[in-house]
Amino acid sequence: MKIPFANYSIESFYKVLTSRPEEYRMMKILCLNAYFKSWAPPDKFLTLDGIFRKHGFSLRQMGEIMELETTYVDPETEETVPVTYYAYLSPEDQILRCFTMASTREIEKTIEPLSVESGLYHLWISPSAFEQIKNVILSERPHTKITFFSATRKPSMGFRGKIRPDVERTIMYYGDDGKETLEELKYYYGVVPRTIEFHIPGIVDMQIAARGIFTYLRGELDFLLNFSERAIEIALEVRRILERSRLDTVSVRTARKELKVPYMVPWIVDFSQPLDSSGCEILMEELSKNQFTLYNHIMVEGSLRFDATVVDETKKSIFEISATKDRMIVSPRYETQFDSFLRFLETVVENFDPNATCKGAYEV
Amino acid sequence: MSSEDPDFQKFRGSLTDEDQQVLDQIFREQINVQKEIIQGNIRSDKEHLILVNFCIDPFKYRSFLHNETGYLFVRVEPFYRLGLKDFDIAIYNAQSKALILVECKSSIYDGQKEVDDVIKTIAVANDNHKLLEEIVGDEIRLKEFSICSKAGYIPKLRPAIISKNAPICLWSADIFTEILSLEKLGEDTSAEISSGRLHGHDQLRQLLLKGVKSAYGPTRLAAFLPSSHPCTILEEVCSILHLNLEKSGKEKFRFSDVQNLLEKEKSLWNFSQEELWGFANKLLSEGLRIGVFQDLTPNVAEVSEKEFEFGISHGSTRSVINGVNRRYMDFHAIKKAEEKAVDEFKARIAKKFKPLDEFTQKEST
Repeated sequence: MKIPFANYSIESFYKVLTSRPEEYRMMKILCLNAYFKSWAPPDKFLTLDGIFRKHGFSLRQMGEIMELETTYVDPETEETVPVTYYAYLSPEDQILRCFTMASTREIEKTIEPLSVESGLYHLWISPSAFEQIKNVILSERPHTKITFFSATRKPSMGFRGKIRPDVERTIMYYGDDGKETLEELKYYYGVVPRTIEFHIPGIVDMQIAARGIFTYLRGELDFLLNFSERAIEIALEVRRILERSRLDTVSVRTARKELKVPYMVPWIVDFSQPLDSSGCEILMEELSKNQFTLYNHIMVEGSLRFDATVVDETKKSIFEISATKDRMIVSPRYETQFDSFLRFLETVVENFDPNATCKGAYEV
Repeated sequence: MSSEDPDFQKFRGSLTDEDQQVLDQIFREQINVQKEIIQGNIRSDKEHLILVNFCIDPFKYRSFLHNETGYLFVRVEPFYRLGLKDFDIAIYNAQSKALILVECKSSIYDGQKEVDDVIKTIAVANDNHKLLEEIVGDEIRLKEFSICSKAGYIPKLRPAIISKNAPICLWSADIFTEILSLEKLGEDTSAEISSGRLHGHDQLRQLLLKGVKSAYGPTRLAAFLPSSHPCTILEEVCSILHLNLEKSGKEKFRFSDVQNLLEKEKSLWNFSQEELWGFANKLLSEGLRIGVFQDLTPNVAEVSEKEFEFGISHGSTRSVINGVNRRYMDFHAIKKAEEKAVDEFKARIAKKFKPLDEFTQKEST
């Protein structure tokens, strides 16, 4: 993918893409949640610009678009392959949209590792958001077919299928009856969709992946560009909840002193099935596998009560969790930003309870 | 795992080979026993922490009881600087100038003893009224005292408070239904208020008598208390210290790094600089003693001038936490096992020679 060097606005960039859509078949829009509103604000030590450079990218400003270039060594041919992204950072929703013709493997090896950086995380489309996105397409375009999907199941997931629920499985399905088959496989095999390909007759063929990747296959590129915005909006609901969580210091005046008290707004994971002690052990194990360290923990049985301190080893943050059988309250403590919470929620949902939902604690 | 204590080694060296084997066997058994005891103590301490956070929850800034009554959680362990038996929580109402000091009891075997202990702590509070005023920065017109315990233990505390006529309000914490409530210990409300067994603040009393349920469930505001188990405190502090050092690309740290870190801890808010200094010093000493920290400047006397580093593997926060836990367990289990092994060995020898003593006594009569 090579876009001529120019000073683009997002609109003029889209015009370049949509004027010759056949050239951009298989183009992916990879979305990343960013803490940043601009590439290199002068007053900030940690910048988006700096993160990309640290990971070996070279950057070239093209108006509102940033050209990001890096290389990847193909392990089979040992050839160095150039990989290019055209990125647009929206200051409104703080989503970094990266347009690329790179393969899934190239993406995995070049840009996805940036998700470990503080302030950056892929746009995770939760199972419930994915279901909502799928339903928007199917209800608005009733003739839509699902022609391919991939779906997974882990034995640690509380949500159980009917057939051999303890088997870890990945199903990849091709067929015009994907819509029905996906529902059947969800019911019988307890799988959760990771990627879905939609064929909207006469309009577009496109793929959506739960890691926030939209792939254009054929048809109206415009449709994909517009629809991806709606899908991003749905996926962002989770981030908005997590971003409201905070820990502030409040000064309270008494006659002779200014007392410092904490004002904490936590967030909540609502479990879809009651959590018991064995479920709690499984959850701890899954969190540990995903680079969360739990310590200073205690589980009180009866009706379950579980408290722990959690370190996100990847994002270098610390928070507190307090769970009962129905829910888990997550409270910020040290350097917690939305991306660490998002990674935590994703781990809980993807590995333990795919139907768990999150909500903000009441702010009074 | 072996002992390096010179006294223990000296004692061991004085024994025959056969007796040394007996002593070693007792020592090995004792290590496991002592580890189990330490783990049990850590667990009891965490159960206590659950209860403390449960009590803090409705009094946090902008939480239900703070909004409704003005009572606000101010700090934990107000008498920390005195090094005396302390209350767990201080809750203050700046409008009515009333302070509630709460003692949390996560398990109760003897209700009378617990109440007696709180009565003694009340005396400390009365003797240190000025200190409490200094803590809240205000005149305190009314001091009230509460014991908070799990709902199941209330029947043990109720008669003890009544029989002692103790000025203590009894709070019941049902951690599973998440309701904190005030127990009414007598029929005459005015008399109960006068005797300090019901809160004087009308709204607070009524709400607590009805029972207060947390809006979304209690959160863990304090991850530890100053009096928490040292192993827990070291785990909590070392994890943050490690992240701070990693972020700044440093290996070494100073006393001020520990102090700065503690200043930001919610568990220690509204602690004075002297208290923080004392706490940091105690923590650092324990860390050095068990080998979690290493003193890089043994010839420097002034603690603020010294440099330290981790004495345990610190590649990740996980390895730091595991290292702290292992060092703590090993150090204290070995130390205790040495004492116990010597005592047990001596007791066994004494028993062995008892029949001989009895024989000698019989002969002499």
